[in-house]
Parts: sequence; structure tokens; C-alpha cells
Amino acid sequence: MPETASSVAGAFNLYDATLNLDKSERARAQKRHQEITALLVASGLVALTFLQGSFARKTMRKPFKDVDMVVVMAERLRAELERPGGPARAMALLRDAVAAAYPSARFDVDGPSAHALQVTFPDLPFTMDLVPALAGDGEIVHIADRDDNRWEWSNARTLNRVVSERNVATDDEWVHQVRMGKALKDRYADLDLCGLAFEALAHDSIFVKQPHDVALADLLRHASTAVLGKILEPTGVEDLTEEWDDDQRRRYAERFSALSRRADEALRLRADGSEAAAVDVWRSVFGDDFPAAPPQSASDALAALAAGGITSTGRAVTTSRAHQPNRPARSWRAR
Amino acid sequence: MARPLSALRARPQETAAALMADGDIYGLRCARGTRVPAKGGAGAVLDLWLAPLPALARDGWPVEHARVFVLADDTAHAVDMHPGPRRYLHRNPGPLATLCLQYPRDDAALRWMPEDGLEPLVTSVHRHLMYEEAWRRTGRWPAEDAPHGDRKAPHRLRTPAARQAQRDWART
Repeated sequence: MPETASSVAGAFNLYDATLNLDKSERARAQKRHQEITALLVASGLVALTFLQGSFARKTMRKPFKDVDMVVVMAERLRAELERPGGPARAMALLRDAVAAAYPSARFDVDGPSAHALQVTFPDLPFTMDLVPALAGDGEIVHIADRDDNRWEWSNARTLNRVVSERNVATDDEWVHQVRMGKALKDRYADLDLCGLAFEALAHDSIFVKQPHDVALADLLRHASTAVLGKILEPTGVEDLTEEWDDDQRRRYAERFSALSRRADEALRLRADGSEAAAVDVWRSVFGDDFPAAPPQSASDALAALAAGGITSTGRAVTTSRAHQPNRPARSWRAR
Repeated sequence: MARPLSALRARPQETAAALMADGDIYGLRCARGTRVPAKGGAGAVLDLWLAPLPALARDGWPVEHARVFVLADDTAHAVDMHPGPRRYLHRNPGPLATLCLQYPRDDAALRWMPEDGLEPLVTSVHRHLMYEEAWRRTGRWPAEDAPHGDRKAPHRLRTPAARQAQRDWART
């Protein structure tokens, strides 16, 4: 059961904790990444590795499903791997090396994917997805595509850096706020845009350290119109909306607009001192995993009904800046 | 921005449907609009089913059925459509038995006015019905009310809270 919170900041902190990956699982993933890197480098097959995806960018939410690991193959293998069948050959080399060190590991349990050799270790609740790559210029790599038998341009390392820079600029709050934004996907089935789109929307709307509620309100306000146009991933190269149709855009815009109105109401309530009412409204945005506000008593509700407003969640408040203003009046009778 | 009463008089069904769709009135479970002939032009009747606030619903407060009459000159009257006998503190005597939502000689800050539009009117009706239920349950009206009947001098505000509300909601 989610906890109760009477302040907005407290509620967001509790909610944040429910989205964070388990620390021990994160540590195990990092340890296994280091072990596999050491193994592959020692074998002479691999020059270096780095993590990519939401785990690398720290924007992954529970449950922890997979770790994407880009494996840059040794230069001495380049000529062999650039020949037809090279991407599949790279995966076979990695598979043999990992299998020799981890005999109980299983491979591609969910079926082969184009880019990654999926490794399932019996002692880990998540998979390690090894993505073979050839070094390119600077941060660029070319990742394997065994389906199309080619090496595909990738700026995943640039993406990692850009996201990390923004996270540093916000004093490490940004990734937490992205996770909260991505959590909306679970609550609203119609928000089926990819996780990276949420990161892009956050990158275009959250620039400095600010309270979670302010940041999320900014994100939702920006998203309500941004989904009608191009959304470039944070490196500014790829338009993530290229395949969206008009109906999709309209659906996203309607949903984000509705959520944005609620978020703005919650900000007004907090600014006017109605913290519990603001928590209530944020809970209506994020759902039951968000902490509840202490319930309002009947006598408090009746007292607040004298003048002020009624929130979108039905709480009577003394501020008129709630969703539904409530002008005072003196009831009377002619006789 | 609230809907003008003229919209309800011109397109009662559509306006009632829009009130529902907008979701701007908490507790509005159902709204039905009907055009009626009225002196001086078209009027409208708006039937509303209004659920109590969550804090009151937890104590078993009922969903209320109110009917609002909007006349051609945009004056409005509200009645409680509760089917059985009920006690009221602020309801006019007479066959129509309209709810006394406000004291007409109060400052405009403390009165709904036609130009405020439909949503504030519905909010006022809803609050009144919840207050009547509070009075039936506790014997107390939850906010300052005006004495019944009228006299030469208007009934003055009695409480600091009401005087403060009049300042806060002053119309500019």
C-alpha cells in the first residue's frame, strides 16, 4: 500500500522511491558488466564495452528487465567482421567466449534479435544484452544488425553523455523526474509513446534543478503541444515521431493537456498553501502508486465550502484557484 | 471560462452534454437540458444529479437531484427534486419551493450573477444542497446565512469570515 503524505515534496519523494531500481540489483548488474568486460577484453575479442539504454542513462524504472551492453570488437577482427555474415559472426564469437566462462548461461531465450545477443544468467533476474559494435569516429560506433547483415550507425555514447550532462545540471534530479514521466505509460494505455520520447520531452522542458512537481508540470505542459510536431531525441539527430499518425498525435495531445491542467492546478494549490489538496491532485495524475493525502474530514470540507474552490478531486479548499471556484453566498429565505 | 446561460437556453441538450464532457464540475454525474417556453423568449430546464464531495460521501451523503430553471432574462431558480418529504432551512415557501441560494441584498461579491455563467450557478446549487443535508444531520448551517425575511435595512454580515470573503471576492 502506498503511504500517506501531507506535503507535496514528501509525496514525490515517496513516489520516487517506488520507481527506483533495487540498489542491490543495480550493483549486481554493474558487477556482471565489469566481469564480462574483463573476460571479453582478456580474450582479445573486444576493445572495450559501454552500457547503453535506460539502465545506462539511469532512467530505467522497476522492474529491472535487461542491461544493454555495447561491445566494441577488437580492431584486428574488423576485416573479418565487415565481410558478409560479419554481424552474426561477432555474436557467435561473443557467445562462445561467454559460454566458456559461464556454462550455465543461456542465449537468445526470447528468440534472436537483430542487434543483441541476449544472455540469461541463472543467478540474475534480468538479462544482459550484448550488442556487438565496430568503432567509428569519436563517440560513434556501428552496431551489428544480424537480420540485415550490416553495421548500423549509432550515437548511443553521445546520447549517454548528453543525458548525463543534463542530469548533472539538475543536480541529479532529472533522471528521477524522467522516471516519473515514464511511469505515466503504465497508468494511461493511450500514452504508448516510447520511453526515449519521454526523455526527449523532459530534455526539452527540464533544464535546471527544480522541485519534482514544478518539473513534472513543465514536462506535461511542454508535451501537450510538442507531440503535435517533431520530437528529437536528446542528441538532436533522430525524430522519434516520424512514424506517428495524426490520430496518435491528437490522442497524446489530449491526454497530456488533461494531465497538464491537473498539474497546474496542483501547483496553484500548493502555492496557496493547500498541500494536501495538491497531493490529492497529483495522485489523480499518477494513480494509486502515488501517496495519498490525509483524507479531508466532513467538518473540514463543510467549513472550506464557505468560500474558495473545489479541486478536480473533490476536496473543498479555501483558495479560489482550485479547478472549480466556489463564490461565497449567504443562504436566506424570503419569509 | 464558464458557459453563458444563453448557451443553455439556445441549446439545452448540447450544453448539458458539454457540462458532463468537460468534467469541470465535481460530482456531476448526469445533466439533462430541455428547452421550455418562457415569458419573453425561450427558457431552459437543467436537471442535475450531483454526488457529494468525497469527505461527505464517506459518511453516506446522498447523490442529489436538482432542477434549475433559467428564464429568458437569465434569472435562475433551483429546486430540490428529492422524491420524499425532507426538511429544509433555506427554501422558499410556495408551490415551486425554490432554494434560497443567496441573499439578494448582499454585496455582489457574495452573490452569483447571471454573467458568472452556468458552472458557478451549478456549484452554488450543489453547495446549497450539501449545506441543507448538513443542517438536517447536525442542526447547524455550516456557513454564515442571512436571517429569514427582509426589512428596510439589509441584513448585515455578522462574522469576520463573511466580511473577509466579501473583500476577497469583490468584483472589480
